[in-house]
Amino acid sequence: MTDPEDALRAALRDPDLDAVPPTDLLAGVLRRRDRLRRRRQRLATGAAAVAAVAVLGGVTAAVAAATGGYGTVVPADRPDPPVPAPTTTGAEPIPASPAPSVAPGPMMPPSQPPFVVPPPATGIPRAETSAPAESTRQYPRTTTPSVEATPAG
Amino acid sequence: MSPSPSFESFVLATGPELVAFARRLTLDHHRAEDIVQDVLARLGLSWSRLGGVDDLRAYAYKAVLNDFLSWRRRRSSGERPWADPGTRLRTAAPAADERVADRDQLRGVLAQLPPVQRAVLVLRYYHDRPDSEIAELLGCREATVRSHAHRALSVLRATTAHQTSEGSSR
Repeated sequence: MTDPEDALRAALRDPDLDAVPPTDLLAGVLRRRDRLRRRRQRLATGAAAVAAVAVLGGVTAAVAAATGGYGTVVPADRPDPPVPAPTTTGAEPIPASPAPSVAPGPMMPPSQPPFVVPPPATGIPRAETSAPAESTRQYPRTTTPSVEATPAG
Repeated sequence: MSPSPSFESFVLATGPELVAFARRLTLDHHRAEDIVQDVLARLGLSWSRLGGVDDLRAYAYKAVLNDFLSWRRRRSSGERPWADPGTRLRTAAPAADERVADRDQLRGVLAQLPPVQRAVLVLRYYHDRPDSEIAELLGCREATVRSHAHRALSVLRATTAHQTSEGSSR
């Protein structure tokens, strides 16, 4: 090899490097193209699904935020300030309570016993005071038939 | 504007040269086909929107170059083949052409270059593009392109000289 450039040119133009059957190449290209197309379709489908989920999630979150559907923790309101106790001022003097006129005493004299209503007499139960015209009790009676009254036969 | 061809006819017409371009960039057949199939599949998905592109072929070339230089592609395919096919060829056929050995040796050196420098060399010495177009494709200035080419050629020269001196000393 004398000149590297000439040698390089000769090596690169070697016809052994050109032998390629075009039909085999076409079959491989078509097969690879179909595979690539299917892969892109799967990617597009996945991207559309992700976008749909994102849109639905965003809409749901917006609606929930607008309607207060979420159980969010809201800090409690601050308690009302305490009512101030009334203070005595010199403008309105509080009147003194009146003193009793008579000394309190017992309402009844202790010498008299308390009046007690006598209870009604509860003696032995008695019969009615008015005598009954006829005894209501029916005693069994034994009747003896009289001979005289019997008709002769 | 001419009516855009169908996607299948575009792949049949442009796919092999895109794979050839990617093979020179990556120095790996499987990785080159992986890049080209990825790029063409993405173009096929947006084929209806590419009616406004003037040069679909140049657009596809740029897409392949960008995919090769992208950090995602470099991370996903950091492994390198450990077997040396040139060694296998020389073992199988001891009287193999010296040109094959040199070519494999040169590819080994190319594989050690950074991807940007390799892309500059491929665009300059395989596609014979001027530095201005390479700078436009790579999104940098012409001076940067010249710098990349100079560094890559320096590495190639140094490695070749080292291996030549090793071969003469044996």
